[in-house]
Amino acid sequence: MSLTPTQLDLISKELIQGGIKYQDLYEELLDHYILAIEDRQAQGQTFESAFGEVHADFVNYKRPARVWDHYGVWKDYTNGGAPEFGIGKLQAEYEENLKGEISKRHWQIMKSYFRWPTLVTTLLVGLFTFQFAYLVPKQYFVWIIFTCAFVPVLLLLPQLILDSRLYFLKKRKFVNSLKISTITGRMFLSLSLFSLFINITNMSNILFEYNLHKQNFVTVSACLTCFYLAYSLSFYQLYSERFKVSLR
Amino acid sequence: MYICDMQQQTYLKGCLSAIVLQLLQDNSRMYGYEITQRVREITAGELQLTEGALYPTLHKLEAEGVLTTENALVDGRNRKYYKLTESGQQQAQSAVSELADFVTNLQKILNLKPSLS
Repeated sequence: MSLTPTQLDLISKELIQGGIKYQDLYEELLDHYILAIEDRQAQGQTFESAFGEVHADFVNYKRPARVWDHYGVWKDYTNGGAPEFGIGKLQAEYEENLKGEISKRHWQIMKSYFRWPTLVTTLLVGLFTFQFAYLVPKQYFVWIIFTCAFVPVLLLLPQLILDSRLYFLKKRKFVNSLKISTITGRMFLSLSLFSLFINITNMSNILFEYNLHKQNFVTVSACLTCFYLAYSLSFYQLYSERFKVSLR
Repeated sequence: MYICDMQQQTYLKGCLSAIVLQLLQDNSRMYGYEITQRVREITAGELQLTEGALYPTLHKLEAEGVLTTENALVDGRNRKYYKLTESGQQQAQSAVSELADFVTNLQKILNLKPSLS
């Protein structure tokens, strides 16, 4: 027995009220609710009874025991606004797990560039970059570093544009998906480091009237270029390895 | 139909990963609700995976890279399927093997008599 639009709308509202804010998790839970309720209805249950059963298990996920405080009032201690139980807690744990694993995997990939035998390639690239730094004018090096810092943005941009378009066409409830949101965090790290580099250079010029000696600039530029090359390659590897979302 | 009590739910939580990995090893891909139904079918209703236990396990395994996901459009909505990665295949075998060893050792401790059949 298929659910009516009103019933589907009720399920959707309960998920959103429960704290769901990512499209991929929303779709997964919605699909589960619909299948579970339809199965129960096929066995003779009413929609309300079936929905109550399915919903109760998600809502009671990690629900803590209520505490009798000093004044004899039952109280649930909150965690600074973070969900303590239910669908929101499920989402928060998923987000935390995914962010942790992405971060761990990203640094594993970065470290692999400094292990044998990839270390040989890394050293050759470093040497080539250092030699190249003498020949290329300073302003072009800043553009090279800027391009490398923005490679992660370019990788994610098509998916972000498509998701935003579908959201504004009301074909999605949320702009963000959890996977894209978590890998975007790694992208912002790259941009933050680039911003830090620009600010440190400007501040040293303004505050200390210190212009980097040509030799020092070559060394710094070569090191930064190598770092950003490694970061961009590692980001691409991370993205295509586990978190690539197909354009649809 | 036997309804799982709280103790059995506790035991079930401890081996949920192994159950999920074994099911996905036997089937190329499955979605969340399908996994709960498959467990109920295999155990004739004796074991019921609760959604609050299953999805955190699936998400954790996905985050660790043991499972990968793919979407398919079914009845006008997106359905998320889970399947084992290459490393997940190896992990599935070792997880199931470890659980089997654990059950064997548990039987020795509890001195459970084998059923006559």
